[in-house]
Amino acid sequence: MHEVVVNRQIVPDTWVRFSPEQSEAGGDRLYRLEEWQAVRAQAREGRVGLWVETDQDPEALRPYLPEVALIAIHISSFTDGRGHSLGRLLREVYGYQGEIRAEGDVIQDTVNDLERCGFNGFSPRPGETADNLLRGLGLFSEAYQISVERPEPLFRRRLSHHSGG
Amino acid sequence: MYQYDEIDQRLVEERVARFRDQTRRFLAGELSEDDFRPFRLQNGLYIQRHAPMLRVAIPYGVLSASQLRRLAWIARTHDRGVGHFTTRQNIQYNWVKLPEVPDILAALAEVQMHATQTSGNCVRNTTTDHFAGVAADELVDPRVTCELIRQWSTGHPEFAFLPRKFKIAVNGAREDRAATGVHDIGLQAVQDAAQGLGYRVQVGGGLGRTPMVGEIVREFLPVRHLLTYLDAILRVYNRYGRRDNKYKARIKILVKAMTVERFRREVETEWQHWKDGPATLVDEEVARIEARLKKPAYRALPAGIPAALAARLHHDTDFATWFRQNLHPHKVPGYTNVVLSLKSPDQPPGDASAAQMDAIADWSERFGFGEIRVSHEQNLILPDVALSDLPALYDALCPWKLATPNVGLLTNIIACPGGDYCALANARSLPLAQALQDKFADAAWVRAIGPVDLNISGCMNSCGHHHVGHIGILGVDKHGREYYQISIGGAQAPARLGKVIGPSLAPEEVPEALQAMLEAYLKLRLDPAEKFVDTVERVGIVPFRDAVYAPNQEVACA
Repeated sequence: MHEVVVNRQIVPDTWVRFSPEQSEAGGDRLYRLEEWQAVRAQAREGRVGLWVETDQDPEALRPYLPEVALIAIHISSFTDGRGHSLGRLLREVYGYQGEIRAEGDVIQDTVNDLERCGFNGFSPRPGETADNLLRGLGLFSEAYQISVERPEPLFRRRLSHHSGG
Repeated sequence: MYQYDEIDQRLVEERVARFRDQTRRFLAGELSEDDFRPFRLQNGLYIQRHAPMLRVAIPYGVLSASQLRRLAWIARTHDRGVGHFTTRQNIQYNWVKLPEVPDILAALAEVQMHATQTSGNCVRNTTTDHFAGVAADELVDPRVTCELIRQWSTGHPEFAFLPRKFKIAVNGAREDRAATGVHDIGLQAVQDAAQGLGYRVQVGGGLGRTPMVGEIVREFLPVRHLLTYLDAILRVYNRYGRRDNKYKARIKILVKAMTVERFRREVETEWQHWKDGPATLVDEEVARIEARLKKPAYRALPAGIPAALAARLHHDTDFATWFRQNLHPHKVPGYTNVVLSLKSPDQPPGDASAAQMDAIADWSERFGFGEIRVSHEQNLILPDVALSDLPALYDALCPWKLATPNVGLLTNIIACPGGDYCALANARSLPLAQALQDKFADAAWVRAIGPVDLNISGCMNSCGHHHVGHIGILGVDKHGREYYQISIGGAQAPARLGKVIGPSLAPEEVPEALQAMLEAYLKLRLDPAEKFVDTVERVGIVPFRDAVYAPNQEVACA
């Protein structure tokens, strides 16, 4: 089974993309937004996730955020930085608490920034491994800016450090 | 310069360790060429015509003597003994070897320097007035702002993969010496009587293929909101800037497409989420950075010209010429700023040898407080020189060819490295610069012409800033041959874009064309106080076009 990194642990990927033929089956299902809007009224077993592109408007996701356990952001090329902003908006403006997973062109060298932008799930691209992704996380002991993992900027930590002696 | 604390130091070292690992994996075949490219670019490494080129940041153009010595050491050890100072307060090494780059970065980290984000589609090195903190016409010292931006932008996790590169410039003086009008974001510091320090925020300026002057997005931004407001601008750009066409990906295109009114609304809406949040600056941080900027211990010197200097000025006309041309007024009485021209007649513009760099570092300690500035005009500056030391400094500079009295004049040519080195260039810049130096070797005539900014770019990427040159020269490719397009009337502050005078010219025609334009100017100017660019503004480009093209047209008609 495909392995992914979630909360810095390597775990099997339990999520399956939705297809209408197997809509009644249980298990973790990933829907495109319009797919979920179409089948949402029908009761089903298992968890629901949304599969979006990096240019997704987070406002359109707002009504569904309480009911989805995962938002998978598909990054078609790692040089597309829009997913980074989307991750931060979902966490810091919309208060989304579930998993945000990077899908697509995800390699060891990009996960550190993504994690700082609120991603906690990482699905390696073909040829990349979950082990490598883990190695790419937590590379820096400090950061100047605010972001999801450090809601205060370094200058505020410097302040409390100095005033605390 | 800002002196790192242990956290700043650790971060730059961790960055080197990461790039060392990436380089190792690339060389071992574990990281493909395509995957490695964005990461090497974000660490300043280009692959050029002959060899990789490493671009090292000189944040806001300030260097200590030990840092300049380290740059000299790198030139000697890892290059061919030369460094090239660029128009964006960086230094480039054109002959580095890829496997040695992590060691170079480690050597830079030892002196609190880096090549972080000097390339790539991210926030680049922030630039400012090269006389920041020492200029007589300064309203606000922009260096604290620049350091705040350096820290905010360094390793920003959200903005490492923007649609395109992003350049921020800050100016704090009456005269805009940072060209804020032609940057993605231009900040003009303002001291407001009621609200204190703040900035006028201009967005969407830039040169390149589609030159534009930025639009004012906010008349006054209090300093405490600086970082949250920058985040908001960058987030709007990151989300909505075009990614389908790299020639339409800069923020200027987005601002234009959206209109500045809508862009401003988007930014303000985004900003409301973060405004007054934890990233809002506190006075203590501004004070902490201020305290870490080394402050010179100026002596109380009498204002006015010391007697020995007056005597030298009286009997040595070469010295007097240099004195008039290469100094810039200092804010402290009895001191001045000395521009060391890197534009001697036989030197590629902006190049300095390792030996020159070492000598300059020594003089900065002997005649100043161990600080050197890098200007976007590709010269080096010794700030804080006592007027009484000028004769001794001048005598030291002359044998090193660093006293060419041409600052602000035609032969102070600003030029990118061009096709000799750069893989992007359509045409070479350096041979043309040399031909112009040869053509305009009569220094007295060049002085009679007066102030002219002459800028040469080897291609549309406009690294030589030709759009804002009083005379701008752009290298173009015409059926596989190098040609040069001439524009006039540009200015960097207030930013104005030059107009093209006519069809592009063959390389050998360019010096003659400039000569013809300048002779036309001498006839057209109202008096010697009217600068070339002011004459162009007053009379338009037609008389200059006629001066360049009319003779040939007459021949053609005959």
